[in-house]
Formats: sequence, structure tokens, C-alpha cells
Amino acid sequence: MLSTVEPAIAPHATSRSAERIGLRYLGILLIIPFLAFIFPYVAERSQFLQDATLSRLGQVLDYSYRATNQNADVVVFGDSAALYNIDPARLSASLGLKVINLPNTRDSLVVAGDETLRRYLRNNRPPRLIVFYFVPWDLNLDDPQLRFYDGEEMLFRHGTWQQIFIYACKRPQELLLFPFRFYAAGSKLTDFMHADRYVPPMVVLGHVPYPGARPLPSDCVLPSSILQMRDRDFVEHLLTTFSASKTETLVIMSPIPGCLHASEVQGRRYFNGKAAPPVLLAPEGFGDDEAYSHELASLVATSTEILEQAIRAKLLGGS
Amino acid sequence: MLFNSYAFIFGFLPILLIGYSIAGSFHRKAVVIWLGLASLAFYAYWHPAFLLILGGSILGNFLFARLISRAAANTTVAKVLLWLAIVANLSLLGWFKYLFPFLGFIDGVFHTAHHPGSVLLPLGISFFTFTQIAYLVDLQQGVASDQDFSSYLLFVTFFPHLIAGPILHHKDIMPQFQEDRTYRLGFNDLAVGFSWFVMGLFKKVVLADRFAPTADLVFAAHGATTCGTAWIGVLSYALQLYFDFSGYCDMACGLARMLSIDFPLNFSSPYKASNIIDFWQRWHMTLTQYIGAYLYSPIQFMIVARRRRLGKKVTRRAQATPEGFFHMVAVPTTFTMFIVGIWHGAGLQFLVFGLLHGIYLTVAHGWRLLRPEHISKASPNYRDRLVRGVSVLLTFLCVVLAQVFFRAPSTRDGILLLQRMTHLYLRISAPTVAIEQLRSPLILLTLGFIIVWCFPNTQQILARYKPALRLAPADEYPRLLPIYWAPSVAWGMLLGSAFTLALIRLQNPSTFLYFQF
Repeated sequence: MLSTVEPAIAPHATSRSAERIGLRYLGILLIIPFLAFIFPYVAERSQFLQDATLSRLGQVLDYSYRATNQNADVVVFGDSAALYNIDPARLSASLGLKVINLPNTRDSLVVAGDETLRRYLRNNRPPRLIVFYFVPWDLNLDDPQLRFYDGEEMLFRHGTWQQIFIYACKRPQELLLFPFRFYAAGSKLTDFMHADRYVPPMVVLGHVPYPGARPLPSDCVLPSSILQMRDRDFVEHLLTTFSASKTETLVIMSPIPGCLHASEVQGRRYFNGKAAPPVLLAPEGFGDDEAYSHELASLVATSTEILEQAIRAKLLGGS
Repeated sequence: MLFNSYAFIFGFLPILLIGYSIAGSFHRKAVVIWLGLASLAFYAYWHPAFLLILGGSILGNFLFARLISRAAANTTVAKVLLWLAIVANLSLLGWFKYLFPFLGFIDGVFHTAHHPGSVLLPLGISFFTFTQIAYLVDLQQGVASDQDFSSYLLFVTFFPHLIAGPILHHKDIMPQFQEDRTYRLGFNDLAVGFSWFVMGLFKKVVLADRFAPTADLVFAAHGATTCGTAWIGVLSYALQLYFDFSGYCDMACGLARMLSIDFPLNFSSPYKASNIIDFWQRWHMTLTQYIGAYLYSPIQFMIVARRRRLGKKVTRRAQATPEGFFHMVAVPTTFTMFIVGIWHGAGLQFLVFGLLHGIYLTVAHGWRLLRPEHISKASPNYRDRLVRGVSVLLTFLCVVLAQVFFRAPSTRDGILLLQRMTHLYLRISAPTVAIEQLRSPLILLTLGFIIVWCFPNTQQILARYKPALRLAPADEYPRLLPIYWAPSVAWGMLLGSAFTLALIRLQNPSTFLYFQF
């Protein structure tokens, strides 16, 4: 019976010994979350733990940072549409040129910006053509719904202390929440916390197949949040920064699903007519996720062919 | 601001504790002012504009309190002032909580051309309104004493209870802030309070939020489920609601304890109740006490007075006659539960929920008259345990059936879901929710019920440190697992791990279910 329980120490005890015991206990209780908080920062910077702690998507994004001595003729730089929808191996074979993609996601671009492209250009021969390949609603990076983990992971792995410091000043709150996202993001180390098994993806010249399987329904509707995204600041900046005498640039709008309101997106002018509007494809060929732009395997050949024609027209005069 | 958010845990709470420590080194008054201002900031974080409503309500009621205390207790002037205050409070509550849903209901029934809009419900409006009405009633009756503004502000807004209770009674809290003691952070109280907070956080983030997707899926199917899926959804909701509210109450009590303030208990293993009367003594205990003191008792008092005037008997024996039972038990009980139902929301489904509980309680009171309880609680034998086990299951079943209406989007959806639950072989042409869609529900449900029925509750675990003002009578039953918290290395590591897990799962914080009331 509870009423017979003698308190071990008096309630609201303020004696020195009670205070000492309470303080020691709080120290023990808080040390575990503290260590768990520190670990992701240390692990991402340590050569020893880096591979074990790499997240599922991180393994793909890492390709951009490791692409040294590639010396490609055509470099594709874009969002996740470029990652899933373009097959550079197929392009290389059909064009007779070496084509690679530098994988990014919209979320990683928010943190890294054009860093992966800069890094590539520092470590490789300048390409003949840089293709900026984006879905029409990813032309700016000013969306409040963004998640930062993809980019932060790469920043911690590959960024300099100065870059980390600059990011910390810019987004201190995001930086502090990084450890919690680290555990939730999934990696070889934390895989036991996730229901599905971790299968490392095979990155071929910066391309991986879309990991989802469920197709968009044929009666899909593009949400207003996507339709409202119209600024092009980020891609405009890329065009002005990376145009050079030896390197041509090209902007391509990724094909989009033919959902309701898609024609509104298609009807817009992109970059004063320099970029063709996106092609509408059957919604069932796209994955059912909030990006509305990731193609299932059945459509990749079509999108790659559309890009191939655009590159051919730019570099080889349409021959 | 949510207790289960990074902003609260890493921002508000440390600043509050540091401020408390600094204010405590000056004067008791500084502590009261600091906590009052911090509580207002806590409230404003969600929607700053609603601070005006909270502030207006506090100022208005404080003014009424001043006027009532100047008039002598129980005089006509005091009574008139009290009624004016009650009408003003209920009008504010009615405007935000009931007017637009009621107009929508009228529109739905009569298909009028005017479509009423909607209004955002200020968080905690029911709780701070009820708290203040109770204070004014007690002030008018001479039970409560007049307060200075800062003490009154803190009594109403004290952040651990502001949004979803417990509903504080002035006699429980005011003396604790007026006590002549050292107002500084005590590591002993911090250890007890923070442990309690972590237990609550774990319940909310790791347990309740895990049951939510299954419950949401089934209740959104508008009855297009199989019998098994319907049961899984309803039981998942029962556990979601249990861990959600239990977690909230633990966090609220724990936070108060961190500041060396004891709260009354608000939740005491209600699914272990062996009858529906027992259930309401364990579920939202402060609301039950409030309703009992300020609604049920006055109604019963009026009925008894009327019977006396008519020359009818009012003894216990008279209560045992069908006519006496109807007037003195069934009517006040059903009416009170009708009000409790409406308090939870403006939809018809809440009314059904309240009336169902009214009927349950009336039947339970009638049963008690017929068969007075005689099970020995001190040393129950095998038969007693069996009877108790069956009673607990039966009570739980009744509660779950009423909860279908509590959660359903409409009365029709509730009835449809009940039909699915009771028709084992009913064929559904196209069930929109299949069991395969639900995430390992049976294992989760089993684990949930093991925790609910076999483990002691948090105040029992913390009993050696007197975690609350009073233990619930139910907490004095013998326990299956005698687990006691102590500030030891093992408990520190266990709760440290639970805290870490909760923090990881906190990335998309969900609101507490009781926030909508």
C-alpha cells in the first residue's frame, strides 16, 4: 500500500545531501542526451566513422564531392529531377561524349548552393557544356517548407570550418537540430530504428533509380504551393556565374506530370524564351511524392532522350 | 507553445529556470512577476493576438473579484456581481467555442442561405474561464480571499496548466506562492520534476504519436472498414488518447514540481477503473472535481430543496425508490454529463458522448444501490480478482464505445463505425482501410495494453517523493509491479535514454488532443 511507503528523502527536501544527490542524478540523466547530441557532429567530421554514419540519400549526394578526375564533356547540375530522371550512361553512349550528373536535391541545394559545381570545376578539366536541369518549381530556394538535413550532412562531411561557421551564423537553429535529424535520417549505424532495410544504392555517373514504387494517380492535381513558386533567382545566378568562353550553358526544365493545372506551368516563359517549357508526360510515370517530379524507371529513357536532343542542338547544331 | 517542442525544451524552459533562480534571490514578489510574465510569453508564442483575449479575461475577472470582495459575502450585490461575471465569462466562451459551430449546425439542418464562417479557438479558453469562475464563486461565498494582481495573474496563467489543465483550485495553488520559503531552484525538486516531465514526454512522443496514424486512418474512413480494422482503429485511439493526456498531465505536474510547486493529480490509470464512477475519479480528475463542486452539487441541491418544499423525502432510503432515484440521481447525473459532453465540443457527437456517460453513471449508481460494493481491497482473494478483472474489462468496453463518438468526425460516422465493430460478417464492398495498411498494429496494441494494465502509473512510481498534492484513492491499490523511482544511476541512465529517444522523435511535434477543448 502506498500510504505505508516511507519516503526515502523528504518531499521538497532542501538538505545538502538531498541537493547533492539530485544534482548528481540530473548530471547522469543529461549526459546521455548530451553525448547523443555531440556524436553526429563528431561522426560526420571523423574519417573513421564517416562511412558508417552516411545517410541513405547522403551516399548518393556524396558522389558530387568525390567526382574528381572525371573530366566530363557535359556536366548536369540540377535538383533531384536530374538525379532520378536523367541517365548519364545512356546519354554518354548516344552522344559519344562523357556525361555526368552532380547529384543534388532541393534541400541540399539550400545549404550547399553551387558548391558541388565549383568543387567539380576546380578538380576537373572545364566541360564543353553545363546543363542546369531543374523542375519548374525549383528555380529559387526560398521555400519555408525546406528541410536542411541533406545539405547539412554534406556540409559537415566535406565543408571547411569556415563554411560551417558561416552556415552556423546564418541558420543557428537548424545547425542545433542537426543531431536529431541525423538519427532520424537513417544510416548503417541507426538502421535498427527503421522498419525497412537499408540497401545502399548504386550511383552510376550521378544517377540512381527513384527509390519509391507507387505511381501518381492519373487524376492528380498540382498543389497551389507548387504553382506559386515562380522566382528564378538561383538558376539566374548559376547562368551568370558559370558562363565562360570554353563552357557553354543550357537550362532545361524537367518534364512534369500532366496533372490538373500542369498546363499553367507549361504555359509560362522561362528565361526569356531561352529555356523550352517543360514537357507534360503521363502522371502514372511519376512517383507519388510531394515533389511531383520524380520519374519511375519507365519514363527515364524518354526524359533522357529529350535532354539528348537539347544537348545535340546546342553542341552539335542539331545533327 | 508545446511542451513537446525543441523551442520549449531548449529555449523557454532553461530561460524560465534561470530567471526563476535570479528572481528568487531578490524577493517572492519577483518570482511571482517573473513566472506570470513568462507564462504570458508562453501563451503568446502560439498566437500573440490571443494574448488580448487572455489579458482581457484576466483583467475583467480581477475587476469583478475586487468588486465582489468589497461587497460582503453572500449579499445580493455580491450575488448580482457574480452572475454578471459568470454571464460575461460564458459569453466569451460561447462566442469562440459554440456560436459558429451552432450556426453551422442550424445551416446544415435548415439549409439556410447564410453560411456562417468560423473562428480560431483561443487555446485553453475553457480552462482559464473555468478556473476564474470557480475563484469568483468561492470569493462570493467567502471561501476564497482577495488577491493582488500579480498573484492572480500567475494563478490563472501559470504555464504548466494554462492550456489543458489541470484545472487549479485557488486553495491548492495560492498558498504555495504565498508561502514564506526560499524561492530558488532545488536540485531535489528539479530531479523529481524533470524525471516526471521526461516520463510524460516519452508517453506523448514515443507512445501516443505511434498510435495516432492507425487511429486517424480508421476514423477518416467514414465506416468503410472491416470489423477487425474498425476495432484496431478504435483501440488505437483509446491508447493514443490515454498516453496523450497522461503524458500531458505528467509533463504539467513535472514542470510545476521543477519549480517546487505541487499540482493536484489529474490522471490516475483510468483504464484500470472497475466501474464508470471509478473511471471518472481517475480521468481528468480536476475537471470531475470541478464539475462535481460547481455543477452537480448545485443542481442536486436545487432538486433536494424543491423536493423538501413539496414535502417529499430526501433521505438515502428515498433515493433508493424509483421516483427518488430518478429525481435525485438520474436527472442531475445525466444533465451534468450532458454539459461535460458539450464542454468537449460543439458537435452532436460530443453530446452523444456525454449522454452515454450520463447513462453509464446512472446505471452504475443504481447498481450500487442494489448491490453495495463489498470486495475487500486490502487482501483480495482469487474470486475478487476475477470479478475485478471482468469489471475492468467491462468498464473499458463502455468507455471505448463512448470514445467512438468522442473521436468520430460526426455522429453518423460514429454510428457507422460502431456498426462495423459489431457486425463480424458484414461485407463491405470496398473497404478503404485494410489491416495491411496499418503499421504492425497488433504488436503495438498488445504492448500498449501491457503498459496500461500491468505497469504502475507515474505518480505511483514517484510515490516516495510525494509528487502531487494528494494521491488519488485509486493509487492506493496494491500493484502488480512495485517499481519505485529513486535518484539513482540506473534511473538516470534509463530516463536519459528515454529523453534522447523522445528528442529524436520530436521533429514534427503534434499538439495534445486536449488542446482542442
